[in-house]
Parts: sequence; C-alpha cells; structure tokens
Amino acid sequence: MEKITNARIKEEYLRIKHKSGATILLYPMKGYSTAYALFGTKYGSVDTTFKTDEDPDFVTVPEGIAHYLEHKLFENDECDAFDLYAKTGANANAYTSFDKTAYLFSCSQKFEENLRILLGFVQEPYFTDATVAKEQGIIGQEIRMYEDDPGWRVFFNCLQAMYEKNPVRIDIAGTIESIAKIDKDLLYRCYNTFYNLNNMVIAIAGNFDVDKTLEICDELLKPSKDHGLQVIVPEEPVTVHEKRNVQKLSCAIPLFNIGWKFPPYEGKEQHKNYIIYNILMELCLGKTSDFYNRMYESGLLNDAFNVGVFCGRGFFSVIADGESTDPDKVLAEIEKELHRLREEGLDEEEFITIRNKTYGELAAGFNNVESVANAMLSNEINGVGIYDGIEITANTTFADIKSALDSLDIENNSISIIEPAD
Amino acid sequence: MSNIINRRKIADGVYFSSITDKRYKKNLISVAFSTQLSEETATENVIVPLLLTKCNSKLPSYKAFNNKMSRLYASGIGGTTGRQYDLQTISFGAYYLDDIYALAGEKMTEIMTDILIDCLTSPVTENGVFTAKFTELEKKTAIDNIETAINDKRSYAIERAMKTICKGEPASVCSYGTIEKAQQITPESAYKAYRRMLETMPCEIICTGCSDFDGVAEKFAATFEKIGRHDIETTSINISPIKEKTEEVTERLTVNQSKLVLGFKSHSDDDAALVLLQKIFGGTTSSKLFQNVREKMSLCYYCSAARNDLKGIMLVNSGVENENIEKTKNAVIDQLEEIKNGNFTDEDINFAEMAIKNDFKSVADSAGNVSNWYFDCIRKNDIVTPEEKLERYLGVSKERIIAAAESMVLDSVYVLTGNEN
Repeated sequence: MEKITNARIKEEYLRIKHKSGATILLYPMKGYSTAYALFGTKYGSVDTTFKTDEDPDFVTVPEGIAHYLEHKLFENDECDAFDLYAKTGANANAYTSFDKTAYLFSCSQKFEENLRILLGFVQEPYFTDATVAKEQGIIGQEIRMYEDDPGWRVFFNCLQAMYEKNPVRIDIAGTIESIAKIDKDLLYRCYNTFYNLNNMVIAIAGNFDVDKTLEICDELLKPSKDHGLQVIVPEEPVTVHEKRNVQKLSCAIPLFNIGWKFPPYEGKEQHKNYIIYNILMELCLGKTSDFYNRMYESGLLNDAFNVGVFCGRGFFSVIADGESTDPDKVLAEIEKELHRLREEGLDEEEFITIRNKTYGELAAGFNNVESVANAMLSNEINGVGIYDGIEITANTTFADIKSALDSLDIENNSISIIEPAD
Repeated sequence: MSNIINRRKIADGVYFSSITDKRYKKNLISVAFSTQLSEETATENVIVPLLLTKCNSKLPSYKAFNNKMSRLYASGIGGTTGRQYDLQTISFGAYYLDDIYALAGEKMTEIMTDILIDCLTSPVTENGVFTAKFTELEKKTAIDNIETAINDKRSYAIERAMKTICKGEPASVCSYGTIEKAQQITPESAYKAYRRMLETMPCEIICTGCSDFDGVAEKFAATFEKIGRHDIETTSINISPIKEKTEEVTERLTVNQSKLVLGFKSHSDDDAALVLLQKIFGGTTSSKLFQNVREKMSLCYYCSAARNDLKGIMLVNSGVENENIEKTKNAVIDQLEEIKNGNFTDEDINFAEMAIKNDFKSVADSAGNVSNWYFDCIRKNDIVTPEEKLERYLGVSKERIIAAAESMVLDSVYVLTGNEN
C-alpha cells in the first residue's frame, strides 16, 4: 500500500497493488455524503487487434465491440445489475471511451452493498445468443442518435481525416453493420482478454471506509494470472491522412474541427505534452488571445470556440472546434497567426495568466467526488498519478511553451466541416 | 444538510441567502432576476446577460475581462436566461476558488463580488446606452444561439413540443427568443431591457461555498439601494389546462432518428404520489419505461419521464426509428395503464424511494446543486432542506400512486421525423 500525497494542495490518497492483480485507488474525502466508485479496464474502441499467451494468433474483432460488451455485462442469468442497484437506490452507469471501459455507481447510502454489486457483476459475464441479439436494437438507436448530432459527427470526421489506420478513427459504438457481426463467442473472447484483473483498476472517492472496502476487495476479487496481453496499434503515418472532410446535416451554422496530428506519446511524457500544448494553444488561440478577440469582433468566430489536446493510448492531437460561416477562412487565419507568433514571439505575462488558469481548473477538480474518481482512473490507465498534472503545470516554463510552438508542424492539419443540409 | 438558508430582504424585491460549508473548495454567488415569459420581451432579455458578463466599465474589453478571470485561477462570471415554468429567469453567477487556494493570497470573495457588481451595474456604454459595437456582436451571439438549438435534436424536440403542450401559456414561449425579434434589437432597446431587469424584476441572490458571505450581502444591499428599485413586477405560475382532445403534431427535418415527446397532464395535488409515479413510470433504470420499452422491446436507447411539477406536466421523450413511432407511443401508454391497473409491486415503490433518497442525500455535495435546490424551493414558496422534503415522499401508499396515474391525461403528442421520401 502506497500513500500518495501532494503538499501543494494538501491532499492524499492510497494506491494498492492488490494480490488479485487489480490496482486499487482510494481517495476518502471528509465531509462528503456521496461516494463514487469506478471499476475500469484498459480496453476501449481502439483495441481491435490482440492476443494473449493462450491464443495462437492475433484476432481482429468488429468495430464497436468494447462498447457492446459494456452494455451486455450488466446482465447475468437471473437479472441485470440495474435490478440489484435498484434495491440500494444508487445511480449506476458505465461508459466506453477510446482507451478504457468503466462501470460506476454513485451513492449516498449502502456503499458496501453497492461495491459488492459492482465487483460482482463485472466479474461475472453472462452472454446468450438471445440477449446479444436483443441489444442490437438498443445500440442501433444509440448509433442513430449520434448520426444526427453534428457536434459528434464533425469530431469523428476530423479523426477520420487525420488518421488513416489507427482505430481511433472509428466511432466508439461502431456502425449498424459492424455490430451485426457481434456474437456471444466474440464477446467472451474480448471479455477474457481484457477483463483480466491485471488490466483493471478500481477507483473510489468520497464517503467510504477504507478498511471495509479492502475487506470486500479481498473477498470478491478473483485472483487473475497475468496472461501476456498484446494489442497491435497499426503503424500510422505522421502526416494527416486527408486535408478536408465535408458532410451535410441538419444545422444552421457550419461546424468545424481542425485537428493537428502528432506522433503518440506515453505515460508522463504524454501528460507533460498534454499540459504544455493545452497551455500553448490557449495562449495562441484561446478566449484571452488577440487572435480570438479579433475573430470574434469580425464575426468569423462566436462563443462556441475551443481548442485543446485530444490524446490517449496510441494517439495525440490538438483539436480546435467551433462554428463559423467560413471555416476555411478560420483555418487560414489560425495558420497565419501561429506563424506570426512563432516569428514575433509569445507574451510571457500572458503565459503566466494561462498557467494560473490551468492550475485553478486542476485544483478545483479536487472539489468534486466524481471528478476525483474519474481522474484517478484515467490517470492510472495512462500511467500517471492524479497529482502529476498540478506539478507539471506548476513547473512548466515559458521556454517549454516557446519550444512547443517551434516544434509544432502548423500545416500538418485536417479540417472537418458540417454544412447545413439543404 | 441541516443548514437551512438565512433568507433576508436586502432591498425592494431583492432577497439574499447564503450557505457556508467547509467541504467545498469553490464558491458560487448566483443572482437571478425573474419575469413573466412573453413573446414581446423574451428575446431582448436574452441579450442582457450576454452584454453584461463579458466586460464592464473597469475591464472594458473582452480580452481584459477574460485575462482578469484567468489570472484569478480560472474564475468565471457567467450569465444566461432560461425558462422556469411560466417565468423567464435572467441569471448571473460568479464562481471562483476560495482564498485559501489563491497562490498570491488574493481576497477572492471580495474581488469577485466587486467584479460581479460592476458587471451588473456598470456596463460599457456610450451616449447613455450600450455601445453599438458590443450590441451588434451580442446580437449575433443571440441569433447564433437560437439557430444552433437545432443541433441537439433531443432538447430541440422537447422545446418544440412545449409549444403545443402549453399552447397559449407563457411556458410555451421559447426562452432563448426568436431571430426576428433579435434582429430588431438596438443599443437603446437592449439598455431599456437591462434597466427594466435591474429596477423592477424580483431578484434572488444565493451564495454557496466555503467562504463567509456576510460582506457580500452588505455590498449588494448598498448596490441595490443606489439603483432605485421601483414598481416591482409580480409574477405568477399557473397549472397547465388539460386539452379536451389529445393534440398530435408532426414536424419534419433532415434527421435519421425520429423524436417522440408525449405530454401528460394531471391536476392532482398529491405531490408525493406524483413524484413516486414519475420514478416508477420512467425515472430510473428499474422503471417501467426503461425495463419494457428499452430493455424488453428494444425500441430505443432512451425513454424516460420527467415532471414539470408546478405546471402539472409529465413529459416522456424517446428517440426511435420512424416506423416504430406508433408502436413506441402505444407502449408508453400501455405502461402507464399497467400502473393504473396496479401492476407494480411494493418492491417497485421501495426502489423508487431508494432512488429519491439517494438523489436528495447527494444534493449537499455540490455548491451548485445546493444553490439550485434553494432557488427551486424559493420559487415554490416552500423552503425546506432535502432531508425535510424526503420525509414527505416516504411511505406513499400504492393506492395513492394508482390515483396519481389515473389523474394523468395524454394532452399532446409531438413527433419530429425525417423528410418524406
């Protein structure tokens, strides 16, 4: 058991490498009524080709299967996990992202009972042909819902433009066609591969008792043998795949995403670049920048403009998203501005302002049970600790930011546009 | 949470309340004005918070203002308009980290209160009205916001459905306004709307966080005294009349998935039974709608029920294939019939109670939730803690829930679907 502390914000939590193989992160928060618990696996939509020591060959599975598995894991042979949670009143849910899947509950009562439910159903898969078939309709409607969402489409179209082979370009839920290929055997194969406790993390924050929690973990976590999981991330060119992608949908003002593609980073290196490029892009293009205010006043950009890093296992990019009557002009103006700043130099005082803002946002995250638990899980899965962000931010120098701008490949970008349907 | 707010009058039609709780790291000062929703004034009210929360006479450009907020550790001043029953609320908020986390020892509550008051009372003006430049910029923002409402098809369908469900009532008015009205806004008309808000609309101020807010009350009291409040508007919220015959409306748009909104109404005054009914019918993952319409029939990804309590409305909404609209509508009606026929168990009631307990006990963990809780209490003229309210919802009999279901009438059905052919 390792106690991890941070002197800057005077907080601490526990990290335990459990004998079952799982990593357990416990963050008790005094004075709170609720507890928020996540049971997550390092398995997301990008993990489509894999094998373990027990498999002779690599297998490539249909797109959207990690998300499909998340839906189906809620059911066992007698009832579903929602029925069990109904007895405790907990709010339960799950989500699948590009590089992880997590099952969660939040509660203000019966924490230990809820934890038993969570640890129980995630370790007990039960798939039949009938229950797998039933889910096609539900997930099919989830996919259809996102097809009509211009904000979602513009983002995925941008990823498809930037990436040629990396599965990050695929919609997390897959397509109506790809999910039709999913059956119970494939689900079991994915489950047995990725839901090995050596690949899993339990993160709990808020109002709970540490000793009782560990007792329940000792009792319910089934020891797993590390089975040498290997996932293939396809070799991806450094340059963007396509420069431009346009789709028409019901919307009034064109939406755009502009993505700059970087080579991927890992662990602390990824986290450091995540913070540095967030600060850099905020400094160059964010709401306090000359650029944004000039664009806003000219009417080319409105309130809905954001820029930030999008990264995970095997991918790293910077994405600017917004609405504009002329997205191509926005891109041209952004490129011009980045070149100008590179030649004329950045403002050090403004850098300190943005660094303070980043620090404030990170510190405020420790105000909230849900954000602490989620941050513990995603940081662990990315190989860093929850306080690393605050420390990296505090230690980021103006020289780091200048050097990041110098190494940015300004023209290595793709633009995705959603235009109003006729 | 036992700390009931200490609500007191600090000026004509202005009330101040605060809750200090050391568990929070952030503070939130919320100021909400309210007025009766009307087609005439809704749009010009929308531009007021846009003009007031991006700069003020001491921080006279957007850049200077944003810079100041960033330097104060990602603090923010925000403003928005929204619909609450038959009212339009114009809300302003200042949120910020507490003093103890400020790297340079800034007195955050004092600084942020001053900035918020400057925004409310000292905007950037020329010739006694808003500047032409900022008015034009924010007119565009208001129009963009109206136009982009269509991007979120689920909330767009509900907004459109309210036009039919509350036909002829203030609640049918879209709280973000219309493009036609937005185009007519001038610096003079926007300034007039702003002064009307400041001088005559009822106002509630609620502070939540770990700070001591006594100094804040004094500052606001002095501010409102100088404004010269007069002819304070009286507002009212009325229960929505039930149509004699269910009204069905279909609208078309380029969409893949159809949206279905069912507006049920009840004039029952058994609030506790209606709360339990909503949970059992469509408020949780163990509800009739989730378990049957989604899980058993696989018709949709979401199908849930929500109450608009003071209007006597229960809205059910779902996203379905075009050919399943009628089937889904009938399935929803069937599930309500099941409850009317008593086809639910004591366990279902117990599950609903547990879900309500869990929700209410969680309120205190977020300064924002606490603030919203008491705004709603004040609107209902019923200031109670979540624990006190919870007591009312426990032990409701099955008969009362059946009676609540029987009081529900299907008033309107709204469908948003794809273009023909």
